[in-house]
Amino acid sequence: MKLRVTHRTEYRYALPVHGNTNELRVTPLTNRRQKSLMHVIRVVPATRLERYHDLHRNPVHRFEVEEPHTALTIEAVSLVETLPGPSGLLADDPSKALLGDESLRESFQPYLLPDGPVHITPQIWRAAIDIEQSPGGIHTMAMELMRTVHAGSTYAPGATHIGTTTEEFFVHRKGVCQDYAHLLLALCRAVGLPARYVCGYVYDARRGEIIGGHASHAWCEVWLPGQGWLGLDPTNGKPVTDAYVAAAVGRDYRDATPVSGSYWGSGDREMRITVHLEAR
Amino acid sequence: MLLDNYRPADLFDELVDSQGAVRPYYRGLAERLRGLNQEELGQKLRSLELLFMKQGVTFTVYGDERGTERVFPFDPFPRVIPAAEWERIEAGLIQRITALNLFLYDVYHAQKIIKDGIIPKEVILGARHFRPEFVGASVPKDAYVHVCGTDLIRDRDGRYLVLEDNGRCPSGVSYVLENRSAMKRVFPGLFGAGAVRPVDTYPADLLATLRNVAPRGNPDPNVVLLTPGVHNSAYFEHSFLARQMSIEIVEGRDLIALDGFVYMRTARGLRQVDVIYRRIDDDFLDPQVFRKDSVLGVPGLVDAVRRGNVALANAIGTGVADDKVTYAYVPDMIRYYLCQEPLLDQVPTHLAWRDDDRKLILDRLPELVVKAADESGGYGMLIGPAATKAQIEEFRARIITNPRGYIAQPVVRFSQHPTLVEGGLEGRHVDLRPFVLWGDSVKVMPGGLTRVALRKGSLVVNSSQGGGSKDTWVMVA
Repeated sequence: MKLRVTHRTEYRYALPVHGNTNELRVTPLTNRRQKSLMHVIRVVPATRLERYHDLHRNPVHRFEVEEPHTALTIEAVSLVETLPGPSGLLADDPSKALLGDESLRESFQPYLLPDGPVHITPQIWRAAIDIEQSPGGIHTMAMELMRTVHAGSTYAPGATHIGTTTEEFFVHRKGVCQDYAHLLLALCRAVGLPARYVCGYVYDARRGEIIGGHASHAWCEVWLPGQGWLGLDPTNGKPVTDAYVAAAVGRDYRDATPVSGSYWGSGDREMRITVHLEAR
Repeated sequence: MLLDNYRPADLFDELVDSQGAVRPYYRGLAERLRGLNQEELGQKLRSLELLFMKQGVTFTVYGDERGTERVFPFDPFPRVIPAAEWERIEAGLIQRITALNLFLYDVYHAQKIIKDGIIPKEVILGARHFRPEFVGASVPKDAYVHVCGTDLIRDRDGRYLVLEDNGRCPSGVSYVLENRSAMKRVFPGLFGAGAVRPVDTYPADLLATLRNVAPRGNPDPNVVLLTPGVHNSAYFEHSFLARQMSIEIVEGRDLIALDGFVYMRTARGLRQVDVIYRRIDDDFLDPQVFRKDSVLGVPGLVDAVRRGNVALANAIGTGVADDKVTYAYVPDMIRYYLCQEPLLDQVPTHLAWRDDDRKLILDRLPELVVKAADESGGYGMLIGPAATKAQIEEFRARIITNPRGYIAQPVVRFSQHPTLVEGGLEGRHVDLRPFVLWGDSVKVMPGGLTRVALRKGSLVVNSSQGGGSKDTWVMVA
């Protein structure tokens, strides 16, 4: 599918601010599932963009607005070609025994450890182990872990905040896509399955069919030995399709924040985010 | 029948490929054209001409003794651009206008691009349209080029190349809109050949772009179009756009600047003006600042702009970006400001002010195209292979005395498109001028103005030099 993504972030400051430095992770990734065809970022006030790749190989843009200003607009427009993922279970579902491999554990260490908001409490570990005991390979297990997150949780904006941990979420199971994704990461990591956080966009062709995708969306990717990363969306309880566009991956929310930065100034700040996807 | 005798020359032909087969995205249209007989076609052509005459779609040729106003010649064979090809062009244009606006902001502020050694100081300070008096001045939303008309040509391999950016007062968009509406009236049957992307939202998009720069974010600004008057070559377009946007069209004498604000004289007294879509060059805007002999402008206008009480589109001083020497640096600008590789290629350019380039230019004048750095509209140009000895010698002298003022490029034998001439269809060279709007978001009108060099073999498509135009179809899929 060919998708055009417009992601706008607007800030208004009650008092002038200066030295406003920002890092943007809003550039669609190019990998075997998607290809970024065009990408332009526009920042007002005018400023030069620098580009580099972070530790997770995400393309990052950085800029600074030095002069005093009271508004900042960041608009990223991208054209992406996406491919559908595998629709059903894989015929050769890799065996869970492969997860014990020492070199695999070494190369995916950041995606295996509890860290930041991803806490593996005894309760979370118990839930994961129960599923691990069932027959089937890694793919079957990952799907089951995703389903358990989806089935046991309620989508409730406002119930959690940006820093909510899996431990807190696991108590009431009410939250947003970020919480769903963090919990799935915790469950996967509890059983030694490398799992990473993905921030991106999802095209909701029939408006309202996809939960949590009105602005940027979050989901997970798990590593299938011999096959690569597999996208799973626990908020919707479904594997990722060609309607999904990944912009950044990382250990958790902290590594994949679309816009993050700092500035000098006091006073209130208002933020407005709009994301628009269009199929071409 | 019409197409059967069409023989493409040894160049990139828009309609047929090198094997002589009609390109897939033209097949539907070619099929429908085959269905027309000579007589029907003749009738349709006459009604087209009448339509353009009645609508007053005209332009003016300067320095022509036979009545200066002419009907803009129109060729009814549409140019077709497939969706995927357009996507790449569109992306390249968005990238380019983004870099140009960042460049303009930079040269009128910190000039980092000079300090970082990307563009030599002489290139910018030596550009005739650079306005040093505007260094340090702010414009709303840091927007300089609000409307850009970028000229593209296609080389032998069909690759699109940027020929120039028109970031001052690009014209021609009214012909795009008129051409489309005429085609729909006279050849409704052709549009069944596939879904064509509409162009008619342009006036509304332009108005939104103008309102976007209203001083102090005024949500209900008074926007006017400032024209040099009825004798200007693009007056038809000025009145057309003003009408389409439902805004006032004014001349300098209709405006007055008082205490740093600009007002419009109306029957009910003065009315404040917030945004001026000016279709008049910097030089003539304000006799207090620029040309003292200008009677077209408004004394005190520039002061009001500097105080932030009125916004101009395009901003003052954008000419430094469409200077032909600056053009050579646009790919570097894209890399510098956006950290990206340019998506659109451009024509290799030799700069006469560089010693080794100048030597090369002077040695090879008969094979190159020489252009004055600060001219547009096909004026001040030498096409080496077509020039007389005397013309070449004249340019040689001009280049030696003013090297900063000239650039040279290889002759690009750009693509041709079947065009209706007496006795059937023949290939004529075409270019493409898409229009880009830099407002709250960036909008590119699908397609743009396809200009045709109507004289056989001519590479000059400018209307002032005998060019015509065609409807341009960007297909939906």
